[in-house]
Amino acid sequence: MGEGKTTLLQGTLDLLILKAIGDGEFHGLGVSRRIEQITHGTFQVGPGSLFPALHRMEEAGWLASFWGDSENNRRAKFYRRTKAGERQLGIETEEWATITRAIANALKTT
Amino acid sequence: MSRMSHMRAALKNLVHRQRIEAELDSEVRACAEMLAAEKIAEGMPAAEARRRALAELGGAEQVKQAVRDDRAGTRVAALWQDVRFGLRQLRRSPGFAIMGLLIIAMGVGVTTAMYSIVDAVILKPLPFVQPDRLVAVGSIPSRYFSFPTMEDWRKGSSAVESIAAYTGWAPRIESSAGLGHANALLVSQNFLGTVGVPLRLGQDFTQSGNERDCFSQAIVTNSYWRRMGGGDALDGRTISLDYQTYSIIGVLAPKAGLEDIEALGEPSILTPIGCDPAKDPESRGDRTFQGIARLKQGASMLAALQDLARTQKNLSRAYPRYYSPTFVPTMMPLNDFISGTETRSSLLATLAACGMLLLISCANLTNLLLARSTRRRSEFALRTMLGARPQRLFRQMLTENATLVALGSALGVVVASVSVHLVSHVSVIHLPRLNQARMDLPAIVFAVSVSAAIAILLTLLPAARSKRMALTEDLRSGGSGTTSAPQGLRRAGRMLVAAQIALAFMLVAASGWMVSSVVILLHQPLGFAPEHLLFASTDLRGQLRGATIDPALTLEKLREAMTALRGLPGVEEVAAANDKPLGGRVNRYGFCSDVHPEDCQQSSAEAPDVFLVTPTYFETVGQVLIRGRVFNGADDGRNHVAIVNRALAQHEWPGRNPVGHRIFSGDLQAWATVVGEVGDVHTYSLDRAPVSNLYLPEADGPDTSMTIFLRTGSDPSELDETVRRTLRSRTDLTVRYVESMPELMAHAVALRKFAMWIVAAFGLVALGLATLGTYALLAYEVSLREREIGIRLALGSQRSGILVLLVWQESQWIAAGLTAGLLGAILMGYILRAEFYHAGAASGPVLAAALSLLALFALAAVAIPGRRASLLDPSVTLRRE
Repeated sequence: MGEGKTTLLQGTLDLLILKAIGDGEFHGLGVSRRIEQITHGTFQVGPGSLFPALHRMEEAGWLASFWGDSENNRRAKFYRRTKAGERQLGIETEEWATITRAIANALKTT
Repeated sequence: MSRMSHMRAALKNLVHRQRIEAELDSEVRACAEMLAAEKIAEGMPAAEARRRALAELGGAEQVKQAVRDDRAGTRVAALWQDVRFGLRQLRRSPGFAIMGLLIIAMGVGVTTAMYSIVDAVILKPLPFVQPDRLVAVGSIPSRYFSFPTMEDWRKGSSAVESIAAYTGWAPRIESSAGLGHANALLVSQNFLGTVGVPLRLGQDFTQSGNERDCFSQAIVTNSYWRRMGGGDALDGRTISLDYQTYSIIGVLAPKAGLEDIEALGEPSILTPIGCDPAKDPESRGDRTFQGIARLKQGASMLAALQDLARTQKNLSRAYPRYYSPTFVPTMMPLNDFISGTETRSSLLATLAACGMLLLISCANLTNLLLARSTRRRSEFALRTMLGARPQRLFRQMLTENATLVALGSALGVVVASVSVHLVSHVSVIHLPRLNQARMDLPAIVFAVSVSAAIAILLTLLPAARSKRMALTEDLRSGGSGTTSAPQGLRRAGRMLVAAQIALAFMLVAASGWMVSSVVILLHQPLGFAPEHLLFASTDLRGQLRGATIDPALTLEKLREAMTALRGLPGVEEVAAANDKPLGGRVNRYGFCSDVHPEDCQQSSAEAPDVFLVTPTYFETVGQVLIRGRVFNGADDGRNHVAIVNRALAQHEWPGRNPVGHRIFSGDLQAWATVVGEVGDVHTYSLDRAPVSNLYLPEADGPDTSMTIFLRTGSDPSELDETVRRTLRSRTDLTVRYVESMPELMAHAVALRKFAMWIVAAFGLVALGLATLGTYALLAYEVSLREREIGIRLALGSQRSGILVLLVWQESQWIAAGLTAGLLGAILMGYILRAEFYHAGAASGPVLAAALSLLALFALAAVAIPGRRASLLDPSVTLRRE
């Protein structure tokens, strides 16, 4: 799954993609670069994980895609978040918060 | 992901596959180009940048495959791919494909056809309202009871909602459908309501509450209505029953199907009980009714039966004159009553035989598949090397087999529908509701589930083997198929062959038993000579139907009719009796003999069946006179004489000469002298042993319902028409039916014969399949062991030694199969002993015959490839490598 410096936790890739896209429009490589940026280089998502995830999320209706021109005038497939994607982001953020709280609590106990 | 959007996406992926693939390709390529562009912008040379970009991407094809794997509907696409692959595999080996398809088509076809017959005859709910609440009410020992008894039973039970009474009636009928004898059913007024028989036209009988009322109302079945001309209006249509005019007040719905129900006498007309003056619904002594009860919602049959038994105990105490001490009510689900226990067990046994045949076919096919999977070892090894997971391979094999099975089953369903159509439309056998058998939804569901089970069964064994597959070894062996098959596979194959032999043994033994039981049934000493016997069932009341019958007139009519028949060419002897052998007879009036006069005071279930016969009866039917004399013209009723059969004589005067002893008969209400002793006759049916019979002269209290027997010089059925015409020309009597004794006997064993032919055919097919399986396995093994055999021969082994070696190796498994089959057959014979009439006698010979037959075929199947192996030329086989 993750092939960055740190292994991605199962299920967190969707969360990262939804967060990275935000209200913007990105092509595949753009999403990858954006994730690198917002995690300060901790996670680098390779195309082998990224593209399957993008297609899966599009099928689920969380992302919508369209063909457009990239910054250097190349035709590329762009992704943006849908209403359902936004809701999903909320759900996954919640879940993530629960998990981190739980792990933190577990680590705090002596 | 919600299921809806998933399915939508899967559908889109399948439909727009090409466009989606093209888009994926440009998306991934764009990504690679953008990566390269980034690197060029950083100052990398263009060629190097492109190479590095592709490396970073991890291979464009791999990325695309990763996307495809995650895509919705991948499984469906893969399934489709596997199906096409399976079809290609089948095309590649047409011999295997045709063999497999035929085996499956036959197995599934025969089993499904049998299932749909069983479904129609036994399983399908009856076409009445809430049929699961209906039970048939009868009594022991004679099935029949009187109307007041039934009323008391109903009052005494809280579990019974209502009981309807019925009894058969065979009046002369005249209508727009023609003249003849009708199968009518006399029913209580609540019959249609209780049973819940649907009406197509008109209404139910008038519910006056008095069962003596007739109102001249009749309700006809839909098929009789159609014979009368049909139509949708009842207005004033009438029929004449026994010269009385009845108005038709209703027509039953077509699906009611009463005329198919043998247990109800296949009626086509229903009338109230009061219409037959001979029936008395108010007399406790008129024990001529049977009943159908509707239980209350949720009530159990057992509870109802307990209520009835309790009520009957009180009744027997209150009216000891009317009930014998053994008289008790009985109940069984109406469905069981209608289909009949014998039919049930025959059909279920046949279905079991079908299942066994199906198992043999499966075993055979699995063997073929095992051999094939050995040939495909290197293919599977290569797939595993390329990263196919065992699960994926299993799925592929399952799909391949399922494709084969689905094609075979489709063929099987065609076979089934053709055979069901044949069986239900050709009247070889007579079963209730058989004509309703067809390939409907339950039958299709059955076929589909059977084939699913086969597909899984076929995959499991070869798959279990391929799990243990030694990869390197399989790869090393490459394409050459000359290495010997692995030990595990050989054992599996031999076990399958042994199982086939065992199952075939059971089927062959079963068919042996079936055949011998039919032969025994038809050729046992019956106590009379059936070959040249024709009989006509007549009613001597004719037009004059009053409450009183003139005995002298009845006797005169019978004599005249017999004289007319005696004059016909080809008729050697004519006689009459009030019932026929194999026809049943129950009239147990009081009986006692001079040695036990105290028995006269009570009715007894052991009282003999009484037959009224004319003087020449015993010569005509060929019943042996053991001692004394037969009746003659002088026995005119004034001297009260009787003849006993051997069973009665042994019972009353064991070891002594009955002639000269005296008996009391409730039929005569007088004492009579025994003048002769005759042999025992099967009076009820072929498979029921003779019982005690008492014969009285017809002149001594004539019966109006008489069967006239004719002994003919040639085939009795040739005279059938002539006799019918002669009797019909007389207006003073009516003819119910004319039939020859051989016909009656054929009819009696028709169902057994049907089952016998089916099981015998199965036995033959099973024998063939098992032989084929044994042959194929050894032939295959010999082809694998050619090299080994070549080496043995080259090292100086004798050719006969090779043959002995191969035959010895196989015969151990064959012996195991035969032993298992023998045990299975003995067990089966025990379970189905009721099915195989008197087969206990033939048990040993049948088992021995089955054993030697199978051993012979199996050894022949082994010896042929074995001999071929021993004739191999070592110089050829060794050099071939």
